[in-house]
Amino acid sequence: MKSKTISRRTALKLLASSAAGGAVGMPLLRSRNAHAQDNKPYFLITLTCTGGASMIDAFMPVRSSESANGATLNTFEDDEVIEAPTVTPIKAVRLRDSLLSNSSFVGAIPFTPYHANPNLMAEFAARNLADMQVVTYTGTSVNHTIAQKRALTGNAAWRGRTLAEAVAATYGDGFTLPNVNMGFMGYIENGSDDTIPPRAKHETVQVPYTYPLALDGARGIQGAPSKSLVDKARALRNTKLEASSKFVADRQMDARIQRWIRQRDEAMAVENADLITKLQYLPDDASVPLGQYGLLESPEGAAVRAAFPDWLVDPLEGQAALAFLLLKYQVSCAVTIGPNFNIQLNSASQFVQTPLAYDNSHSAHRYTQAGMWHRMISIADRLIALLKAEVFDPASGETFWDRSLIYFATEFGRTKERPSGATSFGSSHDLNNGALIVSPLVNGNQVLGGVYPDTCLTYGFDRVTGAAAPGTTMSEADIFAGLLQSLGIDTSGSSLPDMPAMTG
Amino acid sequence: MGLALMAAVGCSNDSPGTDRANNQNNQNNQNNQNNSNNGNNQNNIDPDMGGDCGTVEFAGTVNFKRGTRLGNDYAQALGLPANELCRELGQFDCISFVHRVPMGDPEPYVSGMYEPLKDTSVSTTLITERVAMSGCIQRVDRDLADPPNAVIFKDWSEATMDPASTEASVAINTLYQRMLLRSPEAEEVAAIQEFYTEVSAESDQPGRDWAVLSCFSVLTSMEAVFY
Repeated sequence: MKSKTISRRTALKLLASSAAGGAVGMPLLRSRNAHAQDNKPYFLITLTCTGGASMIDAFMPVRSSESANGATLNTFEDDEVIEAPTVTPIKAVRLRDSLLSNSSFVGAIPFTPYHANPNLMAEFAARNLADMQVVTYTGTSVNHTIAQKRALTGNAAWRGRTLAEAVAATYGDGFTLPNVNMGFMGYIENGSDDTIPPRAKHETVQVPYTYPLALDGARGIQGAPSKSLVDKARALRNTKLEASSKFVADRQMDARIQRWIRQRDEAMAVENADLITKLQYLPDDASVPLGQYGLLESPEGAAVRAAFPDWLVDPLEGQAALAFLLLKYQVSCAVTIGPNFNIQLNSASQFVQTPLAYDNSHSAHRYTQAGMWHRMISIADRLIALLKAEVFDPASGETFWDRSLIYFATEFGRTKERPSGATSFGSSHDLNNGALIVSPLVNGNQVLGGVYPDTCLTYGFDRVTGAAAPGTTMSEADIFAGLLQSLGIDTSGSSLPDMPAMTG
Repeated sequence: MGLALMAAVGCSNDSPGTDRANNQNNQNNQNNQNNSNNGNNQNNIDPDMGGDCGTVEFAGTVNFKRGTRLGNDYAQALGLPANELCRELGQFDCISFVHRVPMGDPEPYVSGMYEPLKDTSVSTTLITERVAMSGCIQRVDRDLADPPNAVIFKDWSEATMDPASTEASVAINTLYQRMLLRSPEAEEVAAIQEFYTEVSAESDQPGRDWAVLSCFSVLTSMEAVFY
């Protein structure tokens, strides 16, 4: 793929022009507290940056010239850091053309597509600056699976419930499948809060493009009797055959039997909602003749395939396509998507993901971080565009994006050191890091906390004012609380801290 | 497991006149012994409850069979190759591929799930129905197309189908024996036979659809999907 580079100057202009009229640290465009005052749902999209996304390789980079130890820390050359300090504290990384053109490899792996747009980070910031919030925190585990789960539970900050479970418990009543999780490893684990309503626990999706088929008991099976008759057969089973079964009679109080009975009832609502059509983004063509199986393509199928053209070969694009449909049709109020640890090709047989995703940084830190950030930002960028184009409330004109929050969750940061002057080096896991949140619901155009230039370690911020607080660090629970409060969730009684700095 | 444990403590007064629990018990006895050997048996039978097996509460004693086990049971009951039991859109294997995770099997390679889901989900109930429906359609259509080699629905055709016939009773009994490892109760046979009236009111091929849906209702019953 030919690189379509634009100059650093152009990227800088993009970044600078994006916050027209805005001032650093000031809320932009809209009231940030509006979300707390209506009864309409909000939507959480958790985008898992699997493997350890380093915030100082994205929107908090440090210039080598700013650091007393620039040569031996993970810092960037001056021309690799894009910033517009009069309009935003958020910076972006743009790797030098010389590095990109001289190396189309990450370690031994050819990754030309990574370099398709080295300015994507700046362009993404330009488009979404008012909604971007970069926060610092220091985690509690450098074990992937444990840290993944803690990124979603705030290290069990609220009885162990995940962010998605909390959202689904709050807003999920009107949703058929409130919480859908397509994540990986620790990101796909349930929380441990038994007080969460069962419906708020997630539905697990393994293969996005066939998942809609799982939402009907018989449609799409050639030769199946009519739905009316299938329903009658269910009634025969439920009311007569099982009523005669001693196996069932003896075990009817069993928790798993009770759960099954409840889920079977809920499944009828799923089936009646015709999700097998609404979520069906497979095209009705010769390779997958939906019509032959009595199925229809979603009215939004073409749109999501256009936005995520690699939906078939790249699971992350398929997840994003399904996530949009789950939100658009208000099937779910919480969706979790993210890459796994497998190397990934696109439809042009080009590598778009390193093995172990961000964790390939062990072998090739800078290019892995750049490539994976490129991948995640690109997915988010396209999801945001779709959500912005979709009206949620015709009366108010609100779009789905106006009520959505994307949380770029990750396990941990990476170690900050490098061999003197090296541009290709490996890194290990480091508790110290930060996170990216993009949403109209948060206090946008903000970097909360900061980076010590001489160590590249991040420090904290005042929970109320957001003022940088060197000498402190934020916890997983702080970020967890700020995310929930930004989504209008009442956390009183939870012992979570109040985080007005994040909610605005 | 619960029934087996009762048998072990002398509570074996099964319902008279049936062998329905016996085969299940044999299987569960094996499971129970295994668990006991592992020290995992958490059943707690209260001796004060006497010998009335029907009053014993079996909380926490059953498990969903999960995809692989359930698929194999279906395939064996229906006399079909397991890899032909269910293919979504004629292409994607239901059990080993597209529905593997929600059916409760681990999936380490793509989802990083080294352990299976702890509990069933809403979609598990629907997928179970899809797998059963797919298998039942194949079994019935093959039996009708090739009567000499029929496995369950023997010696009948759409034209001569009579739910009150001996052939229908034999088919229902065969279905129960192959799937639930027991004979049906008289009320179960009657309920399935009566179901034909509902089917015939709506279907152009009532005999075939009755057979498919009877199979479907037995295979998706909780007795079939839990152990």
